[in-house]
Amino acid sequence: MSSSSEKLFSSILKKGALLIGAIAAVGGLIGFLLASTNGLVSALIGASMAFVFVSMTAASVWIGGKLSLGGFFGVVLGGWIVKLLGFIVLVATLRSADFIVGPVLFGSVVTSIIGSLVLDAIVVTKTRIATFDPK
Amino acid sequence: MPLLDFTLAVLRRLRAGKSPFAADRQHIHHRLQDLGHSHVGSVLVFYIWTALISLSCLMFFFLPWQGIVAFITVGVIVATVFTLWPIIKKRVGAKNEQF
Repeated sequence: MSSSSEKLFSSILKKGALLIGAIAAVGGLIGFLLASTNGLVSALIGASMAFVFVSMTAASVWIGGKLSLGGFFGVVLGGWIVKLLGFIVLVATLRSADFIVGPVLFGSVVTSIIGSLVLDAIVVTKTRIATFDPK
Repeated sequence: MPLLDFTLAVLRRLRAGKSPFAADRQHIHHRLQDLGHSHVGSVLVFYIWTALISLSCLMFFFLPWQGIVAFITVGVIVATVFTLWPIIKKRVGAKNEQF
């Protein structure tokens, strides 16, 4: 993987962490105002879930890019299936938890994911990938 | 939506006796462009349906079902109108020309 690709994924992960951190702070405050401590916890869990799953996508492409073509598809597609199953299990478990405020968790997850998708789109369209590595 | 497109492509090619990897111009985005959508319009159709399906699925875990049914009903109507918009526009235009 070229150094410009490395910079791209590193930038996506860093900026994504900052964005979701900001969403967690604002969401946590809104959650606290709406449903006290449970609202705060739900917003933080939602933002954390989004960060973990979104970062796994970028990390799988980043790590896969260092492997052969077969390895790349194995890591990216395998990672995708693991994420899908992991997300369903996690959401189904949290659904019945007493401390979860459903609408707050839902809002936090959706806002974080849409925010990180917009961020990814902006970073990718602004990045220029070199056709050869000068190193 | 991408998974649906992928599955349809494999089934279509196997039914035609071709390799599942044989290229064709029958992907959903090709069909949307043939319908009259621009490149951006085709992508937006994908986004709208994907957002509607994924949000609806997630809502079932955390929100009351009455609100979700209303969301799905309105969402399906909006997404269908947007998907068929080039055809609707053509028909309305043709009717206006008649008068």
